[in-house]
Amino acid sequence: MRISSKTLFDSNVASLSQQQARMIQTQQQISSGRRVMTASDDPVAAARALEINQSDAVNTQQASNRVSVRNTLSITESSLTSVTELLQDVRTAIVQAGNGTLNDNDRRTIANGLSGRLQELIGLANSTDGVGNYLFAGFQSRAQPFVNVSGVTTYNGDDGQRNVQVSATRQIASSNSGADVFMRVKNGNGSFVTQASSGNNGSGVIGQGSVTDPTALTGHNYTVTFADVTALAAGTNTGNGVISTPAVTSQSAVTGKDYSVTLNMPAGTYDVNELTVGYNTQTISTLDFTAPGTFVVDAAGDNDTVTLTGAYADEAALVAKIQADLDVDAAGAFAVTSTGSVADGDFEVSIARTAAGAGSTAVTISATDAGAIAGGVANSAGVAGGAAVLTGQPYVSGETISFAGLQFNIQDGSTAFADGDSFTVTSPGYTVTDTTASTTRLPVPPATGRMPWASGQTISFDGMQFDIQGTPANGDSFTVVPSTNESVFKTISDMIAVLNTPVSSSSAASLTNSLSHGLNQMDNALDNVLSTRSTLGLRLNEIDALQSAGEDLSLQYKQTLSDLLDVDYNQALSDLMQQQTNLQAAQKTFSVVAGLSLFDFI
Amino acid sequence: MADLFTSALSGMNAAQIGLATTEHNIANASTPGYTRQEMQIASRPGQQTGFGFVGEGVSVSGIKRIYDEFLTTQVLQEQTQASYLSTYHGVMKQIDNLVADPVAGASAAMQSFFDAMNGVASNPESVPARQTLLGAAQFAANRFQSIDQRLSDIANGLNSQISGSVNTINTLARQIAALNGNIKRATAATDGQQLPNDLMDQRDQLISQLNKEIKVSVQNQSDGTVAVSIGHGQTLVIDEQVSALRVISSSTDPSKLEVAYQNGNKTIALQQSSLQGGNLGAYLAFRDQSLEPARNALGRVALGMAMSVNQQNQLGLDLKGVSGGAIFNVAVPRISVNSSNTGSAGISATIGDVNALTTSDYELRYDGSRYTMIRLSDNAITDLGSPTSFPASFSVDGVNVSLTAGALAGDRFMIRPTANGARDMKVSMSDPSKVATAMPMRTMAALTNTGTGAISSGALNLNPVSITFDNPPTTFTVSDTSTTPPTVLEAGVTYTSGNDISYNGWTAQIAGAAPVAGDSFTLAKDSSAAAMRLTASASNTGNTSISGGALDLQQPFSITFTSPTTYTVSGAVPAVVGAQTYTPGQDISYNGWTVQISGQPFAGDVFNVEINTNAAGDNRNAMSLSALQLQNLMVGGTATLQGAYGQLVGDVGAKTHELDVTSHAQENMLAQTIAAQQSISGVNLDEEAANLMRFQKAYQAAAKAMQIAQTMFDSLMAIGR
Repeated sequence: MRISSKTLFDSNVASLSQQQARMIQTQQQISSGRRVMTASDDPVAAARALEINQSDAVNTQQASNRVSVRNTLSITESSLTSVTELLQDVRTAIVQAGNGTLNDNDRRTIANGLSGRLQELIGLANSTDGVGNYLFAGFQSRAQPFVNVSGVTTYNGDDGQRNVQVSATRQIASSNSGADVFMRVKNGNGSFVTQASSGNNGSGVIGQGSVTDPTALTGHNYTVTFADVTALAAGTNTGNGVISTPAVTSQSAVTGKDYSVTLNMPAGTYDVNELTVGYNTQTISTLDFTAPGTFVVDAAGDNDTVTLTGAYADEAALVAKIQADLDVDAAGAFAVTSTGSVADGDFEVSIARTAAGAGSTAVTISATDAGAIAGGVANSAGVAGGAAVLTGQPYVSGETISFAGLQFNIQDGSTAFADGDSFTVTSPGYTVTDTTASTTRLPVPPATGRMPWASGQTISFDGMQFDIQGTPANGDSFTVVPSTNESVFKTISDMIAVLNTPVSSSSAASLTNSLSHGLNQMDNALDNVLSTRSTLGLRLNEIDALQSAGEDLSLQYKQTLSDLLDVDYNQALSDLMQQQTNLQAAQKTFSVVAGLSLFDFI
Repeated sequence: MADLFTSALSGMNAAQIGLATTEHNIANASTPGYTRQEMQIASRPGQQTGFGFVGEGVSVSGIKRIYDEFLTTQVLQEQTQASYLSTYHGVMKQIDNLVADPVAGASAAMQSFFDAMNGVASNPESVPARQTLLGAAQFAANRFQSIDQRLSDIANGLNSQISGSVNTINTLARQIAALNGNIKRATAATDGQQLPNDLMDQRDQLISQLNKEIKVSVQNQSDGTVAVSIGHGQTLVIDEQVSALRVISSSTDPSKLEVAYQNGNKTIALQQSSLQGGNLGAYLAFRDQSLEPARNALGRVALGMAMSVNQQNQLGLDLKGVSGGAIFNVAVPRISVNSSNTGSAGISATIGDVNALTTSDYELRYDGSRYTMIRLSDNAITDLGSPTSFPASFSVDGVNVSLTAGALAGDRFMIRPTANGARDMKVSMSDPSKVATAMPMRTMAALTNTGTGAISSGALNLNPVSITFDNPPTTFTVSDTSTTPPTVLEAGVTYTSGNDISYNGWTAQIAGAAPVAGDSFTLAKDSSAAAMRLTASASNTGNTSISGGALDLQQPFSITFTSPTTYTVSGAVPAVVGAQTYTPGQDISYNGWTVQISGQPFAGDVFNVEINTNAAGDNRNAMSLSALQLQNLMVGGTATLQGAYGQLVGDVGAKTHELDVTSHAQENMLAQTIAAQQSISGVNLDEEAANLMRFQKAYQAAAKAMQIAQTMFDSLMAIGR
């Protein structure tokens, strides 16, 4: 191909300048350390680098957030440590105040000490982060959250909690609401408060109790009322039977039910003279005489049966047997006379019922449980009547009656008891009333009566459980109400007020109660502060974990950025060497080629 | 004997002319556009004698340009493309260096703004942190402005480059016309037998220069002249006539110069995209395809940042407990009414939704019956129908356009939504306490509560809402349209014209005599203000209209439990009647707020949602502001602010990279084509040296022949002596 001289030079110059340009670029890359100097050098890497830069910057933001949160949490932690110590001191002082040997002055001294501690505590609750922001004020960090006006400390902050972004997906609270730390100290066991009524006479002591099923809690107020066993004659009685105070013979058999005991003594006269028992002939005139050896007497409607087994040696033995089986008492409710002779094997027995009123005879007793009190009318739950525990039992005055673990008797008083007289016997036990809803919680409707109870037995209902030790007296009651918030300031203020009040012998118990309440509240307050401190610790731990994760991430971003943008020195230096060689070769050959000219030879 | 002399002389002459031609070639070896010339020689016809034809020597028939029209045309083609690409690359590199610079680019400025915002979120009480934020905001705004200014400078520079290029084109065109004349006359002087080679070289060189400015097509005419045309056949030079190009201000953007065609006294606007190739083509393409999209993209990011930050700030409370205001000045779309419009309609536009914004410009057209909106980047057409009531409102790609009556067929309006975005971004807040770090409301569980119920800190509930008239239209139904299907908030609300209708914190009024069943209105959060955007459905047939839309996020309400499973609400607007069923953790939304209550509240427990007064330490809104950085606020919810900027950098980088590669490739292509063309037409000095020797020898030989002839003649004379 023909080459024009101009082309020779032009193409060589172009090639040289291209090579130089490349060398310059490589040299610039080496001197700047960056492979991508403008977006066009590697548009994908440049755009990606912007994203990575952003992620890296955000990660750096979060790292500084972590430092800031850690500082705030550490300050909070240290002020709560002081609070803990202070509360422990207060607790010790309250324990000390319970010492019975102290007099009013001693207690006043303790109260003065507590006043100082209260002010100190308010100061701690108003701690700042060092630049004037209150730590326990919620969102209102510029306004003093706890203000003590005439002895009452109020919280002016709010529930706001400041969250700070400490990793891409995690926000951590850097503050705690003062209300949560100091104001929301639940009294009692944290869910409910148990308390004995002031008028209790028995020795029953109610425990703090615990929650067994948080979802079943109702928030209602309850009263647990104890009743002893009682027996009472109905006001409508016409006779004058006297019922004894029932004794509990078997705690385990106590049902808690109320019972109605009724005595029946049918009026009128009837005669069972016709009743003859034929030893051999077995004839009977008016009563049903069934299979040999067994016959039924239904004079009083109670279907007594007489069972004769084998031969009887004499008439007396037979009479005794009949008397026994017929539930005829020795007093002669029935007169049994013999009309025949044993010898002829054909004797007859005649049972004569004496006329009513002639003696304490023909009395029967019945008892039914409380379900049937209303005359057998179905109760609200649709359960008809209570079950009978005694039915038409012949009864004589003073005889012992036992059922449902109770034992008592009814005796004739100034006059005998009369037909239809009734008595109410109540089992001992407790009832629980929901005073908010005015309903009975225990026993669970439709049952009535009360729950059988033994000292120390667990009482549970509506998700709560507690026990009562000792022996409550009849009518003693205990209240169970939902816990309310009592600020730690109020607890201490109350303690101060209590300790400043002179104690007389009559108010000693009240002092003890107040002090024990105060102790309990201090424990609750301590628990509250300690649980806050434990969440602080957890947060600090998490920040430490996130910190190292964040540092790893930062390293990774830097590595990625470097991979994207930075020059690979090995590559670049090797490129430079090669380009240099190429350029030198091109320069040398150019001078050779350009130097060749025919004109040199003519 | 005489013919011997003649013959020798002709040889000497030919050799001399050959030498002259060779020397001409040698002399012009480096002359741009020079085509080597070659002497054309032929033997003279012989003299007839009885024994045959005796040669009479040589005659020079002409000096010919060694010229390949095909290769020359190819060089022209490659040349115009090469200068187009290298010029484009050259101007593109200016933006490339500008946008991706880790220090000077906008990304670093946005980053420092959000870094400062994070600082405020960590320490909302700190005035120095707030001051730093405002400083960073200023820095970011300045950065956007200065990049935009730089792009604007480049645009202004382009104007003068376009003018310069047009001047060059006109000058070259006049020179070509003049040469046309000279060549025509020179050719005519030889009856078309001989061509004025060097004039033609000069003209080719001028055409080549012209071609570097703009792609031309050349037609050779029979009289030796050429006709030069550009674009879609606009003749620039014909014979000795020149139709000059002119620069005029754009009808849509007076700051922009465009190229027009001067035909006689008439100035004809050219479609700029038809002017391709060469420097001028590169300038125009760069401006339309790279510079303005880049400015728009930059403006979009600036708008996105300013509006999102403003909107979030407006939802919060500042250090003084006052509702937040704007931190940034937000640019309005650049609107221009086409200067050739005949109607009187006026137009205005606002940005409604930054998420939906594109980087394109738009043209609103009216054809006499319908309005259409054309997105100029891809010519996508949105039919806007034929509204009958004015001002008519349209919403296309996040831009709300309002048009007054009076448009006539053929009227056009240019809307550039994001063009001013970066230029007009300014910090309007000067008081650092006005940064709204707190939320308007806070929640509080009463200290007297006995249950374990806890209330969440609450979140804004600004879900869009629709109001639809029932049948009969005496009542309407209000639904939350953020869910699918929409959740009915309240059904069967009695309609009273002009009464306040309040949901989710806003209050609007529907007024008018005759609502029709099915008429509907929607309320949605607007990007541009702390108010709601009210829209009447386009298909409404009734006579009612909606107004108001005031947003009040500071309406307290309280929740009181009447049992562990039910609660009542007081203070809600509209009032809530009766007990509500409590489900732990479920959303409870009133007055524009949503809270959740968890745990087990008991009867009598109270939870308050109250005005967040005095909340210096509340950083919730600052967290939301800070979180904007990582939210996909842009490009239809696909990109963060910096991501959208990254797209700009990527686009510019990719384009520059592409131009770098293609312009290099084109240079090589051009070099090859030139080499091919030069291998035909270029001067090879060695060849010329050989020619020198050849013609010298030829001359010497001819002279020797002459000498021999003279000797012969002398011999003859000696005989006679």
